[in-house]
Amino acid sequence: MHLIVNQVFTGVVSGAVLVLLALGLNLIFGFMEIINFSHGAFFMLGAYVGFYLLTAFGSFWWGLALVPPLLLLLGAAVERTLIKPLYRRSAVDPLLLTFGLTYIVTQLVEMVAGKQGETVNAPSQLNFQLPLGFTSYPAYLTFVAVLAALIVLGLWLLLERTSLGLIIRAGIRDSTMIQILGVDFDRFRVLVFALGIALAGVAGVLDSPVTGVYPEMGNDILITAFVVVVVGGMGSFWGAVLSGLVIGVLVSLTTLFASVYASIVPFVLMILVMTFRPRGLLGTT
Amino acid sequence: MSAIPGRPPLPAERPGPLQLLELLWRGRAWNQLALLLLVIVGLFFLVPDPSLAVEVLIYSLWAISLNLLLGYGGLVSFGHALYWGFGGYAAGLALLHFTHSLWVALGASMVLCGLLALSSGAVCLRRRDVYFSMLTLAFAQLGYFIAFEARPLTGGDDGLGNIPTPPLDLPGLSLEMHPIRDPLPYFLLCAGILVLAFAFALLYTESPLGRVLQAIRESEERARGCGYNTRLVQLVTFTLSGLLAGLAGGLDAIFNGLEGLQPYWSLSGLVVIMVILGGRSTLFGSVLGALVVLLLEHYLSIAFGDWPLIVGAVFVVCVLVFPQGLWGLVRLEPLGSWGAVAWTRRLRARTAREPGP
Amino acid sequence: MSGPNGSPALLRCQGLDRWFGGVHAVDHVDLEVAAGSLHAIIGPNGSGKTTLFNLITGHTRPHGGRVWFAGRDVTGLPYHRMVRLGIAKSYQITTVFQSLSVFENVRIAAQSARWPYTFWLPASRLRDASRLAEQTLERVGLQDRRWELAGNLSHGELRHLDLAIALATRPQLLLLDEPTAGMSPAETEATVRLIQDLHRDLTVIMIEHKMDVVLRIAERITVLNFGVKLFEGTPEEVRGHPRVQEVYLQGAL
Repeated sequence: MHLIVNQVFTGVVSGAVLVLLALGLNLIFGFMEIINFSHGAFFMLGAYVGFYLLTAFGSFWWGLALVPPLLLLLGAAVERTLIKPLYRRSAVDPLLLTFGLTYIVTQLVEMVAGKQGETVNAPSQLNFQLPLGFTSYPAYLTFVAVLAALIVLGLWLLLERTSLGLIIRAGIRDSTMIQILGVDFDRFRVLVFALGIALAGVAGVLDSPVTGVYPEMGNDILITAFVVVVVGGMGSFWGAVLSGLVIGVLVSLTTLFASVYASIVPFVLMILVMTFRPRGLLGTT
Repeated sequence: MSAIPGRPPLPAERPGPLQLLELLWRGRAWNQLALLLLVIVGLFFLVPDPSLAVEVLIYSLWAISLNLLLGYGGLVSFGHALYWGFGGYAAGLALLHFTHSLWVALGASMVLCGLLALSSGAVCLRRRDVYFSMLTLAFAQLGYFIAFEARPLTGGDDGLGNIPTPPLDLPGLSLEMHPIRDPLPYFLLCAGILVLAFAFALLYTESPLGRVLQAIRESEERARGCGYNTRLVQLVTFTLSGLLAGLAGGLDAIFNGLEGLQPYWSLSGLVVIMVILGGRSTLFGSVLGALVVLLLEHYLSIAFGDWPLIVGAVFVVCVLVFPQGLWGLVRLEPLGSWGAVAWTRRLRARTAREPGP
Repeated sequence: MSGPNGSPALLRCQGLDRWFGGVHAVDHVDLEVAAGSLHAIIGPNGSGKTTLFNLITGHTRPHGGRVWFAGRDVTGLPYHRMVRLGIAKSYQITTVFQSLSVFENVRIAAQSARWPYTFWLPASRLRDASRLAEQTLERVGLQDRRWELAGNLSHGELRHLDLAIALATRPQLLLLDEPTAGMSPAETEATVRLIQDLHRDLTVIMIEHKMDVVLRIAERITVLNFGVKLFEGTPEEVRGHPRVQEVYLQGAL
């Protein structure tokens, strides 16, 4: 019984990471109508940058603190140079470009860091077991869950309560309209993309003590992240949150009972959803 | 009144050698077959490494199969490695357990892959655009997973090895083949199959069904408004595409004597790069793409060892700067157009300058 | 052409209902369109005109009611089946095959009657389809532009191409959704003449906002408001109806 509860909680934690990724994907797709196939690559980059900061400064917290701004800048740079030329083109080209970007980034990291990957140690301050009711649980994982929840909440507040968020939401709804209303759409595109990338990077840093860092980690999690978005409903904030947690828990429980099949759970779920409820759990169209 | 829909009338006078050359270069669909033959001859004489030449032929076939979906159909599949791999396993298993015949093994690849494509296509095509792409990727992941887990059948991580090379049985002769020692017969076999498949694919794209496929790419809604069951057309294309990919995978497995378990992501990506880089608006573009990418891989891996990075960079540059691909550049297609009509304006302009009867 | 009374109804809709979320977009609408007539549907924005079209063509499934076409119950049939039966629609937002030539755009439509799914011979062999495409292009006046990329046409030309594509499927019933939208007076006039020319061979239903056009050429007018059929009658009757004037025309006449 303890085992199951623990496993559920582990699922919530891995689900939290998925939620962060899915929210970034949703933002980018909703606002810019671009499917960011390179989202996983930035997840991986964030993890690696965090790892190097950890090695350089000796503390995990440096990674966690510096990765968001660094990836914000990187995201902005990528958007300006690579994505911007494609806005007027068909829907296929950004898909191809971000796919190619993943290819390149993964290869670069393999070149620099080697294919093997590294283990990342959780910060020593959180290297203990937290007593939680009936059972005890690694404090680091609890921290991840709590931090992710805070980020989700913060993002929601940003979208719902600030004027920036208002523009973003309006842009998701109808990009033509807000351009007519005089909003400098272009500037917001950079912002939204960078924000999405930063979210991916933070997710990477948070996940690295759990899975380690290795070049393929982005590709592996990308499909699951897409599944989360699709199952939750493309463009739905709480849909992504809900489905991320559900999928995280499902995968975790499957690992416990029938570990062989754990990796295909998201896949099977996606097929089911595509077949029976194409708009996702909380999706609109 | 034009003789051929979609094309302007032929120039009134008999085209001289220069015009013929131009027609070949930028011209009608069927001229691509001639270009293909040129490439095959070129491969035969100019490429020093025979297995590289064979690989180019096989990957060309695979790239063509994807181009039917991606270029002509507008359906971006990131999971095309699934059918390649499945075809390889099918042929390998057939030769290991059921048959000594080359044709039966290849036939098994095609039929089984066709069935696989039919069933996976039925699911993937329920949605459009990015959902479609993700579903294809997810199916490829599933295929990888099954291949990994089903050790007794597929050899799991080690792959399916020791595939015996069957003799080439043609009416009148039976030729033992040893692909590694003497690749020539296998080269000729692949060349023959490629030419046949290319001709068939060409006919498909020029046929009414193929035209509808392209119309659906432009606007599915409007195609439905013309009375077409668009999903049926796409499903047929998807099945054909998987079938040809399976054939390519089978040829590859027999050539190498083994079917390894390859990472589905990068392999699927490789064929996408071939199609886009070569030029997605023509079938010949895919051949060119396979040629260029494999040559790059071959020579770069000798020099650098990091060829995927360079190929990836070239691909990104291609999408940004010349999305019409290399062959699209040669045909002077405008950025982002599908080329089929763009050149007719130039040809028509030239026709107008020439004195008519 | 024969008048609305006494002619067989080519299209008959009974009690069509459709909700979108909480909005009752089409509310129990009956419609009867006689063969050979030119029928107009008017109403303020949001009155359900386009939704009604979509229910007729099979784009949208009705939540209630039935549709008969040429005596046959076609309720719920998918859109492409309806086209094969003889209903064609031209679009409010022009949708053509952008990267194909004008000629090819129309030829694709023309080939659908007899040869939709053949893959064993080149399309160039289908001379009937090519001929039909030529004739249709001449009828709408685009024959000089036939080798042009569809994406390069002007707005007015695009509307005519849209029409040509619909015509090439050889429909019995043609639905036009705001055919003169965004057109200059000259273009509008050309389009109106074209519609009248087409009306000689087909039954036409059109949604139109330009009242002068509607009152001039329509034989029968249905007025919708908030999804409900407010009134139906001849142009004179519509012009004189007080409720219609109040709701839609707002005393403009």
